[in-house]
Amino acid sequence: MRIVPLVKQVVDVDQVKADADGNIQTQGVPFKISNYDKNGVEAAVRIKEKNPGTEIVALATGPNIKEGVKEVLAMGCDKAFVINSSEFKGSDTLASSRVIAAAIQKMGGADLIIGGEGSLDAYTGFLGPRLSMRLGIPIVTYAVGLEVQGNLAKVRSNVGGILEDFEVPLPCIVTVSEEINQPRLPALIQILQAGKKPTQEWKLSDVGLSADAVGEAGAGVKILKNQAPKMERKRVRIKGTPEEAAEQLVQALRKEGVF
Amino acid sequence: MGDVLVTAPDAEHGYELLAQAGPLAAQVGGKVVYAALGDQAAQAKEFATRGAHRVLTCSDPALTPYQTEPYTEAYLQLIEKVKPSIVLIGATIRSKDAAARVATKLEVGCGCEIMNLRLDGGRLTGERVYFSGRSLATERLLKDPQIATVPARLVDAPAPQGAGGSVEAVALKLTPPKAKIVKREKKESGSVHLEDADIIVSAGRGIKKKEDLKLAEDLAAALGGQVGCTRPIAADLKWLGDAHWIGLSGHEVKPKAYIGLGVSGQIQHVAGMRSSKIIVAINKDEEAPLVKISDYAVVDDLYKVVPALVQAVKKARGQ
Ligand SMILES: Cc1cc2nc3c(=O)[nH]c(=O)nc-3n(C[C@H](O)[C@H](O)[C@H](O)COP(=O)(O)OP(=O)(O)OC[C@H]3O[C@@H](n4cnc5c(N)ncnc54)[C@H](O)[C@@H]3O)c2cc1C
Ligand SMILES: Nc1ncnc2c1ncn2[C@@H]1O[C@H](COP(=O)(O)O)[C@@H](O)[C@H]1O
Repeated sequence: MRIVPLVKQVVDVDQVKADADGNIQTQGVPFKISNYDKNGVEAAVRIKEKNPGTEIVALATGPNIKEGVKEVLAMGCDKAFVINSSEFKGSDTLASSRVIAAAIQKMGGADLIIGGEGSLDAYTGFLGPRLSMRLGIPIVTYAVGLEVQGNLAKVRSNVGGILEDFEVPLPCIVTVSEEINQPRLPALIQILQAGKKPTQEWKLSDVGLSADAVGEAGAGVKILKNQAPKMERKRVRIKGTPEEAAEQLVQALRKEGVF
Repeated sequence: MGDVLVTAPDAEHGYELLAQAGPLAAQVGGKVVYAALGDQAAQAKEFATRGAHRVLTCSDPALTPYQTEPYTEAYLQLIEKVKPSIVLIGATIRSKDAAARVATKLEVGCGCEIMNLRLDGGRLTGERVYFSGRSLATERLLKDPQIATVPARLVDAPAPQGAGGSVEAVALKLTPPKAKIVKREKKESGSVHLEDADIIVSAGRGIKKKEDLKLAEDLAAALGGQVGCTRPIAADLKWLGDAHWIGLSGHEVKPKAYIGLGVSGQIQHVAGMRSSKIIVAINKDEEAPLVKISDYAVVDDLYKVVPALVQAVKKARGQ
């Protein structure tokens, strides 16, 4: 069985800042692996532990991805295919799903593809469903449980207070939530070994895509601007003993007309 | 030119989308067509009197409960039939899957939880949360049909009016889904509607034990408000149901007052409560982001402050 975790390198949203006009600036902001993608890698490693003979092949994209992918190799992926995302900058999920689908076909397919419920920057949750359509395979999103038994993926999904248990024939796609597991922290030795694991870098042309299929030319949605919402708050610090603070807070809330 | 096709997994959500679809249809010179699928077929007349010129129904059992595969097929067949220029799909955590799949088959973009829908430069345009909530992106749909998923509770549902549009049952060809639901379990009854609460007391991980949630409950009761929470409280610890979960991946709320108890105020939580009129933080860490974006902050141990606050509120309200 071959499992392909999808790994997206994103700007660290906690370090994104707005300029004086409120326009978001991302230049110089460091990159990281999108949060839930590590939960996806962890889910893959746990399946491998129970199913000997499994191969985990990460498919990762990002601006500095050759370095970034080492983190997931250290967690237990066997090898990685990486694509530098500056090659498809300006893509929406319509365009980036073309890249991911083409790369998966190029690597000879996958039995189980695992992504995150949403990415840290865009958080559309569209990539997995789009990929399922391109590859013609089923998908379950927001997984909080995932096991493979024979030719079936058993997936528990949590959607808005309803738990659904699915049985899905392989090949399929599953996108996972943070609650599915706690991603492991690799030991030093694994980090050292990760540098030696095979990592192949592909260009878009290697996966058979031309420039106009991706980026702004291939996108279905254009971002016109990205602006920080205004947050003007009073920022009053209430001091004193708990009783004094409570009293002052009640007065303030009354003045505000809260009750 | 073309119609606006509207559908939502929940009837109330559907009415709200009809209110938003009306002006768009008038501008593109088309009709508003509502697809009442599954259980909603029985309410077809309701949609017709709340702004749909034409209601298409299909009560095929494959459409209940919601599943991505049959809904993808249904939406694609309805689009083939109506040939809309705009498609609005009520955004829920599930329906987004089918919307994205439909958009892929048609090789077009898909708007994700778009607010403030409008035509700009002749194209469907609106805002959405980006960078986990650090920013609002203005997005434009570039290809036809222009498909957008739209959250609930952005506008009021229109009141029923007049005789309404036509109703027509359609037959859809649906194949059994490959992903089979073998068990389905509702975790809670939906009695909490945080979106309607004037006051929300929100519990974060600063609350150490499940029993201590009583602090939040007592304060909410004294204020006549409801209890909300952060993602870890609902999703990891499961101390409260998902109906209480506020944030990017939970509910978006705009109460008169939001009071965070031991809530750090990470951007993904703030994305769901930043429009609150008044924000209060009770947190022992003065560096906590919520303290920095609050109107009033008490930097102290919530275990000491909250009981005193409950007493002070009761006293002030003469309880
Ligand atoms: C893509 C994505 C989507 C997400 N969606 C959401 C979402 O929808 N909603 C959401 O809430 N989160 C969401 N998160 C998670 C979010 O990033 C934070 O991890 C989460 O909000 C933190 O919850 P918390 O404030 O309860 O816990 P913590 O961050 O652990 O904060 C606990 C706080 O309690 C304070 N504290 C501790 N003890 C006391 C005490 N005795 N008295 C007073 N204060 C005390 C601490 O100082 C701290 O500030 C999402 C994350 C990602 C990556
Ligand atoms: N460019 C990409 N490269 C690799 N994986 C991606 C990419 N975009 C999305 N994904 C995967 O799809 C998930 C959901 O992303 P999104 O649909 O953008 O919210 C992410 O958590 C990743 O696992």
